[in-house]
Amino acid sequence: MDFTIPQEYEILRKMVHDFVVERLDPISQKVEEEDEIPPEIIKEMAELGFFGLPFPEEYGGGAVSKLGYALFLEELGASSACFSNLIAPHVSLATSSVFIGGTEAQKQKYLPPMCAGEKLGAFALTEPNAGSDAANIETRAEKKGDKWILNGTKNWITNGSIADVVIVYALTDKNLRARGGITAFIVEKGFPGFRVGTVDVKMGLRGSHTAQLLFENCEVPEENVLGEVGMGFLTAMKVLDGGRIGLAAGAVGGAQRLLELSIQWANTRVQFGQPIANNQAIQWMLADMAMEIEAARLMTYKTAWKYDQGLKITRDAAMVKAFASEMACHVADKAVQIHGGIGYMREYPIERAYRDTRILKIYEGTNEIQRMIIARDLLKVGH
Amino acid sequence: MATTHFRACVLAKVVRRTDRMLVTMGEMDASEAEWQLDAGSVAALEWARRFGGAATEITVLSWAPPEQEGLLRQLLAQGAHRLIRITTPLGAEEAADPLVVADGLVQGIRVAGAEAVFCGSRSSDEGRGATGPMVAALLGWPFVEAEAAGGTQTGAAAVTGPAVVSVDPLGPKPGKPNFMAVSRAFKAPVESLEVQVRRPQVQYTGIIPGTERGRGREVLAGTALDEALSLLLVRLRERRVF
Ligand SMILES: Cc1cc2nc3c(=O)[nH]c(=O)nc-3n(C[C@H](O)[C@H](O)[C@H](O)COP(=O)(O)OP(=O)(O)OC[C@H]3O[C@@H](n4cnc5c(N)ncnc54)[C@H](O)[C@@H]3O)c2cc1C
Repeated sequence: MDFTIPQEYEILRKMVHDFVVERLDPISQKVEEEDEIPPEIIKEMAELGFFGLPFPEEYGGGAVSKLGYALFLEELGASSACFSNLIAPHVSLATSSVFIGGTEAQKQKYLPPMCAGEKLGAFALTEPNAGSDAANIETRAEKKGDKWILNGTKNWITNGSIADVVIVYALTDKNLRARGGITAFIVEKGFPGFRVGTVDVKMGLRGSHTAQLLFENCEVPEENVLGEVGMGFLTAMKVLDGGRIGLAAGAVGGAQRLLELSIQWANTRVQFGQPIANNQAIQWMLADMAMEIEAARLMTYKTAWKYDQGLKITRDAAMVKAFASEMACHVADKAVQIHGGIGYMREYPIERAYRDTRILKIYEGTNEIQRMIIARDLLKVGH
Repeated sequence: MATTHFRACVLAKVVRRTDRMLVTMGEMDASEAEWQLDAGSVAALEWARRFGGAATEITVLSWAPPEQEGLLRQLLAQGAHRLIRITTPLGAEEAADPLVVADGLVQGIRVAGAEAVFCGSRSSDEGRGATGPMVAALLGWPFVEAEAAGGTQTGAAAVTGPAVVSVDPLGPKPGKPNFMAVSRAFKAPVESLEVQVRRPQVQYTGIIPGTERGRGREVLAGTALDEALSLLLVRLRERRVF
């Protein structure tokens, strides 16, 4: 077993680290206040290749493995969560849907501009009546001549209000549902009948936009059926498996930053005439944080490695998603505790991180759903 | 790539990060410090890129060991086209001798068929700045010390024929590569060239620290070869390098 990170990825990691420190951290507070990532920063991210890292070079990607992509998101996760929340849904969910489920022609057409960050992607599965029970979607797609007509509503779609390309999962056969009755469509901004509804006001993740998407007799050309009719649910599940590794990696990066800030604070904050770090109560919190982070990190790397080997990762991805997101919430809670009152104040990044971290246990499949996936596999396999 | 009509070599060195070294008992301890590309080598790449424009084929030559190949590959990501690592059957100590270093690089330059060579004027580790002048002397080419003034290439612009151009490490650097370029650079082949080099015959009597040499002067640009070489020797003797 070799735990050495390939040199190529060390360099990528350093590039992201430098970008986080030089470009993202200094504007994080402004983004929080204005609820907007400056367009020039998005442009810089695109130039660096943030939008197409794990896709093959022939489609304009960085040809980086899942491990490389996880390391990238770990570094990016150290900054305000809104930045990885722009990139990860675009890469891990939308662009990956095209890459995993698309035809060659669709890959040729959509991947290069998506990898270059010229076209931003969103992944639209969730609906008002279908969250955890994703197979219960109600958005319908009906074939009329050489077009598909989509009708329905998608809820809480990250990047939805700003996306150029939305991967929409719709019902094409009510009787089959998950078993061949769901189809994915590539819907472009400007297709007739597609519009953005309410942009949501959230607990955290300011700077990242989540919106309702409305499809009212939305016309989608035949060639925009992603892959084959009926294959949508399978594509979505495969995409989500891979996406969970990215989510875990971001959680690790964010938690690591909170640990570092907590160590700094514990060493500098003086109470009872000595740094609070001298108290065993504080030391144990730091130790617990470090232990959990390390465990989540190793699970993330291992799952990414398995993915790169082409091994089945459904259970691993569910485990790392649930574990890393819960770890991040524990760490954020301890970080607030170690910081005391200042950890509760808006002026300091701990409070923001505490709010931003909470979503990790909910989206890309709640942790209860992850436990269902894990348990189902355990009971099937027997170990 | 556009048709190549100019070939350049960049001499690249990998050094310990001096800003991270430990000081143990008053001595600098480099053993734990990270390796990095010498700033002069990175600046040299930028000169090479700007000098011949898009049609330049840039070969990076380096004595760095295989473990540091990853750092050299960054130069590929930043615009170099070819990477040749020089090796020798000599032991590490002998191979570190400036004359051996220069000799090996010259053989690499010949393999690359370069018409101009760019290197940092002094490296951040020892700062002797001996490599450029020695390479020039061995090639029989003029040696030009150049400095970018306000982003323009004052010294190098004066070079018309073959030359060794030593550039200011603080000068402009290539822009940061993107991930795609890094990824491509790590998939690119790295050539290695085993060279037969003369064993060092030179006795050094003293070395002038790089900081005392001053920067930005064009020492020998445009002079005839013989004149250049004798001038170079005079300068080196004046500075008691030999
Ligand atoms: C900020 C944000 C961004 C999002 N981005 C996207 C996006 O880009 N694309 C997209 O498609 N969706 C997105 N979502 C939706 C997200 O994936 C869903 O919120 C999530 O899947 C949960 O669905 P739900 O909210 O309807 O909760 P529900 O399914 O209603 O669940 C409510 C609670 O019941 C539990 N529960 C449900 N069923 C079971 C069960 N069988 N056993 C045990 N417990 C159960 C859940 O775990 C949860 O605790 C986003 C959501 C948010 C908040």
